Amino acid sequence: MRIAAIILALAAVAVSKVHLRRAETRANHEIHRLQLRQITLRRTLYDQQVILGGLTAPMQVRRRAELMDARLTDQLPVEREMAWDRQARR
Amino acid sequence: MANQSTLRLNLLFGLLALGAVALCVRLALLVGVDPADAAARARRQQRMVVPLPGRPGGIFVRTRRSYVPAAISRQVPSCFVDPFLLRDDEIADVCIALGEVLSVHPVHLQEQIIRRRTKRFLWVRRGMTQAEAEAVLARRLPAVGITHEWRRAYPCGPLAATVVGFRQRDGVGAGGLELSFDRQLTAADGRRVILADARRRPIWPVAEESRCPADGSNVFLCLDAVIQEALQQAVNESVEQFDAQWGAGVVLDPRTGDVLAMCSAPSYDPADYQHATAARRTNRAICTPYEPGSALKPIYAAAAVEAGLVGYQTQVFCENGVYHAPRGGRITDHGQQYGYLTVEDVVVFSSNIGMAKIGEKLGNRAMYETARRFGFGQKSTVGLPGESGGIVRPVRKWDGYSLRRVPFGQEISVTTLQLATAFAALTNGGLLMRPRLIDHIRNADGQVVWRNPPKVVRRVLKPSVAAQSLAALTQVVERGTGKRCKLEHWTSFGKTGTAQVPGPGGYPPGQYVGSFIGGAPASAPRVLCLVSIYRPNHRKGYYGAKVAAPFVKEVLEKSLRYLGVPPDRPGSVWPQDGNVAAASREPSARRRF
Repeated sequence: MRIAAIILALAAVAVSKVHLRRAETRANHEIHRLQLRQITLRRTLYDQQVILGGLTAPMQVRRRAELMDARLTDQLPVEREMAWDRQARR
Repeated sequence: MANQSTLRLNLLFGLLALGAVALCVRLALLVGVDPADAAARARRQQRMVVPLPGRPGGIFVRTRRSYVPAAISRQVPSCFVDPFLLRDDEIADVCIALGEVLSVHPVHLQEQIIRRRTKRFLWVRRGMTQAEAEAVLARRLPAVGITHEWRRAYPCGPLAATVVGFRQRDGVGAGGLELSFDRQLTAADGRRVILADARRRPIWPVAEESRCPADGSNVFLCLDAVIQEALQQAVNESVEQFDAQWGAGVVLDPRTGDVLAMCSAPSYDPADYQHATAARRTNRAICTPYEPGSALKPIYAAAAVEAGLVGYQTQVFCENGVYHAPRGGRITDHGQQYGYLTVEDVVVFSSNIGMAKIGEKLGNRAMYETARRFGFGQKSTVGLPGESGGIVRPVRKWDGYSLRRVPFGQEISVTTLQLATAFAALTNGGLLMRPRLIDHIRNADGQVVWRNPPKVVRRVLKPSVAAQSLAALTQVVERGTGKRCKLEHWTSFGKTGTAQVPGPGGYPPGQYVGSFIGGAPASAPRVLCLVSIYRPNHRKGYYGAKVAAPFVKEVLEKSLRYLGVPPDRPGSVWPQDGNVAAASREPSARRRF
């Protein structure tokens, strides 16, 4: 009778261990999947920033303005005065 | 009958026993003889490893509002075939299909596949469009696959090419910052491990053994895209106009030592580095030292004033144009016949004889120490590969000739960056700043992992001497040799430099380096620009005042407008013309990224 109880207990421990191992593996896999997802999202964001940086690069702005036959204008004197004031305040 | 069946049973048992013994022997061999090898083989057979390539980091230059990518990596699809898996009767069909989709020659491809018949991998096309990749996948060709590679792109083209450098096709940095910051830019590849059955079908991902890729860090520079473009245009124009061998330029912020622009001409496109000669890929601004000539005069004049030997108003007799120095050879003022000049005028009118006499007062030891103190003869540690420290010979080798020639820039060689850095010290109150090319480095998560703040190397002049020196340099532009760098809206300062190029046995005729270093506004210097033009066609012009000063003026005007520096010339109002890029409109916004 005792031996049966011990065998049952050991079996329960074994089943629990397998279960825990399975859950751990699943969690690890989920972590790995999420990390990869994070990397993918980060790369997408990076790509967007790079595109934005490229589009706002002065040479790109000038090239596109030329293509669209749009004339770039300088700041108005009033705007410039305000900019200097802001710089001076800093 | 019974005996016969017993015999059969015994035979069966015997065979089974023999099989069992064989299995035991095999097991013993596997476990006992080389268990590690057996375990490794089992692991290899049970696991599939999928590589997860990391993205190399980028290099960014700044504008007033944001950072602009100068070098980045983009993922591009590439097509491969496994020749081993292809059946003989499939080869022709696969080659024809790939030929149609990818415009490769089917016969040529077939030859390659047959030549590598037992190999497991053959590139069909590297770096194709997404549409081409989708077309290949849609055909469902046997043993043909698409993988993705990181391909380096240089969105700004040749802008700052010699600074940014280039990467070889295998992803190894091979020039400029791509080489010197290769460790930070390079990514660590990840991998996904999957448990597979004997037929290589996936069963279960092994997360414990899998690893995420670590993307490379991003390097952010102090270079400004707008100023860089202005400098490159100016230097290219001068090199073309005067048929020069090469030209180099540097723009610094003298307050912080920030390198706002650095270029070398002729240059190259990093995306097409294979077709550029080594000479074009060389960053002349840091790699090629040259004798600076008269551009060195303000430094030695300031050193003499600092040492208390002369003042800027001390009179120096300039021998009416020809000076036969005792054991120092013949020195002339190139046709000018100056009598008495103040030390300030010696700088303003660039008198060689006046400087030779100042050199006599200083002595070789003090001049050598001045050169070292201003950073000549040692690398500036700007962070670029192949930097030269310039040439400053040991003081024991200096003689009577050196005594009179070093003060006007002979017998000493400096790089464009060194000279600009030394000049910055004259104009910022006497502090030698370390030239700062890298602003900071961020990891892939966007956290700053390394910051490079401005650093004072040492004080080289008293603030009062530096202020007098700046006043003398302002006079060079107002009434001296640098009039061509006089700006309309800002007060400026500068110094011309014209030196002969030394050759074996002396200075061959007709070979010069013309340079000009100038800055503005003189009331509070914000920008300092040096342009050096090496071996221009002397029939077209070779004086620094001609081959470099007008181009420095162009760069200074563009830079000051772009930076929004208020005019300081009395009575000057802001110009109304509109050539400033829209990107420079906002003066104080925080940079993105």
